[in-house]
Amino acid sequence: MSDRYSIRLHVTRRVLGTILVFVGFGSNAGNLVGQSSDTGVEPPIMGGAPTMRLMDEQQYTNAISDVFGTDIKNTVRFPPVRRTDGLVALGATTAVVTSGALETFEAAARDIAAHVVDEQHRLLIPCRPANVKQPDDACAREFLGRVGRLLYRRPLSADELNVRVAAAQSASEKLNNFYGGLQSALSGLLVAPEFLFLTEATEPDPTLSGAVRLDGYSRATRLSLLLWNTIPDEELLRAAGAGELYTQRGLTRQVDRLLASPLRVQAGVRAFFDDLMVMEAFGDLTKDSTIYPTFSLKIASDAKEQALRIIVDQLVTRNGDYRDLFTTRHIFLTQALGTIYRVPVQAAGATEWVPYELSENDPRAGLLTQVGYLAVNAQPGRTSPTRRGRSLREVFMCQKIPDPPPNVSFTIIEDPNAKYATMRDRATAHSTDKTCAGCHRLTDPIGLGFENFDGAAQFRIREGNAIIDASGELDGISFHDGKGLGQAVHDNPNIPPCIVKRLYQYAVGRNLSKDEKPVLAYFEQRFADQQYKFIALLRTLVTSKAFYQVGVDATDKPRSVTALNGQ
Amino acid sequence: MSYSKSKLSRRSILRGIVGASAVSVGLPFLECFLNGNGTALASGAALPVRFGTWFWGLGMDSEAFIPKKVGPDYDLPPEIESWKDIKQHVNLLTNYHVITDGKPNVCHFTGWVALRTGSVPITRGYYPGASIDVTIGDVIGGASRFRSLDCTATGNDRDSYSFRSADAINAPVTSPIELYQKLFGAEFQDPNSPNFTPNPNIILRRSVLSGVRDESASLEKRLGTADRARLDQYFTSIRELEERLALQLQKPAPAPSCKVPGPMNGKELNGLDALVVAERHRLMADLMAMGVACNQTKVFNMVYSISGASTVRKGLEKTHHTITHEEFVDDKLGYQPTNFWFLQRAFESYAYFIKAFASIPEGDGTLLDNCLIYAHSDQEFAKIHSITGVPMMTAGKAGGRMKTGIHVDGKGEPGTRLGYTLLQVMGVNGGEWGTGSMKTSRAISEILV
Amino acid sequence: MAGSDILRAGGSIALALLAISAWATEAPVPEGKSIGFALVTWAPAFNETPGAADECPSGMQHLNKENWALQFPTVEQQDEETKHYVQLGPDTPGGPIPEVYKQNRGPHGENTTYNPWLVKDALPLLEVQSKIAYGLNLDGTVDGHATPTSCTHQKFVSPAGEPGVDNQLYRLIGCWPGWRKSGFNVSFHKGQFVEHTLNRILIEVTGVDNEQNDDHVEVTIYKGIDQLTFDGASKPVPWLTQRIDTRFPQYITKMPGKIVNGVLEAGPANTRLPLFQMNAEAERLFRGMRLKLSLSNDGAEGLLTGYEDVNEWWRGIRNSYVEVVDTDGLWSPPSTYEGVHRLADGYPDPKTGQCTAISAVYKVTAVRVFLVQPPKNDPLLIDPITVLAKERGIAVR
Repeated sequence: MSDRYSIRLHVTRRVLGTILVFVGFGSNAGNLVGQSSDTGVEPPIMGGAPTMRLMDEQQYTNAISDVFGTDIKNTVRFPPVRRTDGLVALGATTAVVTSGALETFEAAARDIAAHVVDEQHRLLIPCRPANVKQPDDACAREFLGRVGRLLYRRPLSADELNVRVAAAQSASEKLNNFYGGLQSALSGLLVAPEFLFLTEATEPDPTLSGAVRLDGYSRATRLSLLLWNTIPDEELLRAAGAGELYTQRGLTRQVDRLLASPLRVQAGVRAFFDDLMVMEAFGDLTKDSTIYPTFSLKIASDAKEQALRIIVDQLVTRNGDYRDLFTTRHIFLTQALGTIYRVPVQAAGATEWVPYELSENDPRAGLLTQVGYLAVNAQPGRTSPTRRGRSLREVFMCQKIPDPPPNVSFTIIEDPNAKYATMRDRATAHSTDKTCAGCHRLTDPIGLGFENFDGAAQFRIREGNAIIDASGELDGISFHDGKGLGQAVHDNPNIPPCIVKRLYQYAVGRNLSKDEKPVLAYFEQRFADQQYKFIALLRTLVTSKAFYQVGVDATDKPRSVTALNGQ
Repeated sequence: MSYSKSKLSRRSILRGIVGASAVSVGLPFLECFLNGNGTALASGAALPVRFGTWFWGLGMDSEAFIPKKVGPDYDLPPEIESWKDIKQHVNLLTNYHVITDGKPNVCHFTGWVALRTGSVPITRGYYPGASIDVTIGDVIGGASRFRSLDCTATGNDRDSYSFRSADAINAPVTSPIELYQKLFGAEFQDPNSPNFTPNPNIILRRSVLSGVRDESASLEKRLGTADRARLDQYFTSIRELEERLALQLQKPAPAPSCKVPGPMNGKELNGLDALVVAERHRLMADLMAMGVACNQTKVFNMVYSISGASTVRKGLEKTHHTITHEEFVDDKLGYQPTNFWFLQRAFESYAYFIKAFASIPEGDGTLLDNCLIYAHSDQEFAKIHSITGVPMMTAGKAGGRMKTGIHVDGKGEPGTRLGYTLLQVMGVNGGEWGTGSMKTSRAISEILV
Repeated sequence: MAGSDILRAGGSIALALLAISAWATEAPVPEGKSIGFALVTWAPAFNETPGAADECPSGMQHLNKENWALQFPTVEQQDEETKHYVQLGPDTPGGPIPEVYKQNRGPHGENTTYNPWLVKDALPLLEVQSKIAYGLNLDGTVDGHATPTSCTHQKFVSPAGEPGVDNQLYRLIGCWPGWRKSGFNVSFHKGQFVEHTLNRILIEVTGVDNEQNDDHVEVTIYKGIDQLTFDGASKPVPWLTQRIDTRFPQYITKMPGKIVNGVLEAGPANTRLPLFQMNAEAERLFRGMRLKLSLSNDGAEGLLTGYEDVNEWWRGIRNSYVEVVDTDGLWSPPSTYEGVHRLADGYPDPKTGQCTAISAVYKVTAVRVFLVQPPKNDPLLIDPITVLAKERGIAVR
């Protein structure tokens, strides 16, 4: 997290009570698991509204490279989207295209279109015009129809295609150039709202009178965005058009296919964790060069990539237990990161990544003891136990720590003559003062467990002359160092329900409604039954009914009463 | 130079509905509107006034910032001693409060949101309305190449305080090179160039955009209210872009003070060190001022540091923000020394910004004379997050409508009085601004001509 | 319109065809600790006094153009020389001669930087006059008399007062301004030394039981291939990993050593090292090279000295500084060439008695690094020439 909001906590008992409710929610969800009588049957839900998401930069890039190849670069710049309920993906469902943003989309569209029709990319155009200097409607139709279907995630209607072909024709005439006309029409496709906004559509549900369901193409898009973070490919579109995504068999076949592509699934998993872990904070990550001279910009960007690689390795490549993210010794290093870890890295050059197995004696284990988490949640020249603790609570345990109140008093730590030997001593004020302790008690003991890693995530035994004491407890489980803390996190019952909840929110693009508690409990139980494998959780989610359920149609009209009762 | 009074084809004012407010796009500003000397419009009206904002985080040290004297010719305490060359252009407004009517004072949020939108937010992340520059831009910003120019000296592309809503934040330019490319790159049309040939591609681009507008209109039918509004905003943006492209088909009005800067060298500026921020700011301020002088935009926004600034200094283990909370107040000085250092740097950059506009001649005076630049912070005393007395400044004469060089003591009145004053000066009609205790309909007469 | 997936460049086909090179072994695990260094700076070790007052009382080195002026003192002689031997282009009017042509002062207009033995400079080589110089006693004598492996020469006393120092190269080039601390040659080379990987010299000390005192360690010198990183204050970042460039076994040298009070002493050993200087590749060839480096937590600094092969030295200098003979380089090749042979003090040729190497002392600084063998899939190891040569049974040097 960036240092934007002060984390000086000054909480009243009422607010403390609210925190306990949050904490309680997590564990209640766990209890529901035990109480559910049909653990094998997915509980029904009403479902929310279909969403209209503004694409994000990565999805845009993936879409362009999927359709036109990876050498078509784009220079698009997306406006900042707000983080809602902990996820940027939710902000995408309310984001708006300002004229400033549209300008960059239009410029990027022209740029991409120009590249696509240039001489080096003739392979992208499946036909040749009869005369290069003149329009060729048949060829334009073939190209625009194919490309349009992929970009819009559905076939263009006859009208839509005719209009595009006419536009290409008119432009070709003006320019005396077939390809110029094609370029013009293509840039129109790329700036159209049908491309930029991922709009879900509904249709009447033939199996239930009065109900609506997401149409096939919308299902395809929801599925593809979650699993691959990109637009549906040709095969998925075909299956959508053929109605296969309405049947469990057809859906499962596509899900199997999508999950069988490790690189693509990695892209999807990366996008989710990038969002979940607030990785935009890496954009701000710098350290003071006199205190931590080793910490360069390269290390900051390698740290982010390292975190994503560890996640992908544990959850996708090894298909391992999600909780082991907090204890894993399988990490990745570059030569630059080697200077923080103080180990040799046998890489073929400065940009190569090599897998690295931390030894059993290494003080590091798990994602939270690697450079990214520790350095982002710290000051430029020292650690921040409060931020490290808060990040764990909010990101991985879904527990909101309230902001500090505005008129917090710092007189306690203001004594200019005080000699604090270690950060733990400084933070004592947090835990002894009644007004601070309420919130700091939840964050500092965690963060202090990481004190063996300085502000640049370098390992140290001492702070100044004092030996560091990194012991503490997490919700009742004791530990005496960062590795032990990782184990305590691994064993914490709030961890699995939180990731299930966040994944679900991210997938459906909205916050939860009350009636969704049982289905979350169902997912949590399945997650546990499948050894907390993240891929299995993804599969459960995308083959569930809940994932596609909509309670209102796109124009906000709710389902009829008969439909509700019919459930 | 004489201008033939040729028949102008009037273009209709396009209207769009966004939420509940109307959006208008005005006439293009053509050269025949200027009088013979270029000092005023042919009709006799003054040259258009431009509006800008400048934002910095973490307020001020009142002991070292607030001048003893109220009124004109105010003294410059140590924190703003760098203003000596710009003081005559700057109105300093102190002791204006943000009154929350019981809503929580959300740290590093409530203060600037209230001064920028007129209303106090309910919670963090909630923007009660458009930022003042967007409101003003809706009235004056239409007929120029860019609706607004948004820049940040922090290097982070999320740092923008210009927005229509929380979902429609204007993305900032984060580096001088990028700003140069945007303003003076391939698509720049030099207003003083004797030759003008309309770029034929522009016609093609416009037809693409109008095609998009026509073909995609039916999308609306299949959307709910909220999404329909978002799609409307998208179409408004399309129309605005079309309008701006149309402008580029006409010879731009000459801008005598426009001097296209030479190409920039690609110096790497990374991080939030105060000196790096100052360098970024300096380069971007120069470009921004020249961009305005070249009529590329009428609305401009600069972020020096964000609310709760994360600026750092070599050798210091904490950010500016953390300093404000952890540093003790020096008994002798009466303020926090390191906080003071950071704020001095901020005000130095402010002085540079104002100077950049004041050093470009325009008409009888300078570009700054035809500008109105609004600066404010997020807190008064950052250590305790106070919002009573959040410092504000204006700079520029707004085409002769504003007095300058005056220190006004707000006596606890709501800070929105300044925003209201600015809206009046910029010709945004409306009887009042703000909500609750921040609602006001009284301009600050001390600074009005 | 199938999308093109990103292909990983993992398992390369070339590797499948390539037999695993004998050099591509896993990193060996030495007994005792192993510590590594990469050299960061390398410059001649001069004891400089202000204005070179002590070292060069008669002034700095004479220039090539001064010798040229004396060789062709009259305008007529200069014109004659120009007409015969200097090629002027079709549009060059009869103007002043570009300085570079003043190198063509051989008897038939030969370039005397490349054929320095063809003329004898009128102006003498100005040798260092002071008695103080950095270095070690290489030949074991007190007074520099001839031995089976050395020629008679004068000795120096070190700045710390130790007698018997051998540093004939200093005598030769100490009055050449380019080699002094902020001189052109040194300044230009400073950046090159760290940026160009031909100059990447790695030092590995193995069998280290105690970094302060250890009677017996082994020192190995390698050529590296990786970049070094510098922090905001331009100091090298320690603990980088540096790959050994296994393509060049000729640059590997092993020598015995010891550490005494934190100072590593190693050698003697015959050492060949690569060099990129100015804009030319060269090699440094030392006989009896020694190291004396003071070790610290994140680096080392000290002296590197030995007998530098005269021909290799001359070749490197000539190729590197031919372009700047009369501009920044400020030297006169013929007298320098003559000087290096005259002052050479090591390893006499058995037939002629002419010493073939010259005692040289360099000041070096180093940063602590991890040395590794390149990984198995490293493109470095796929050297097509070597593959071809092996296939055809040709020995590769």
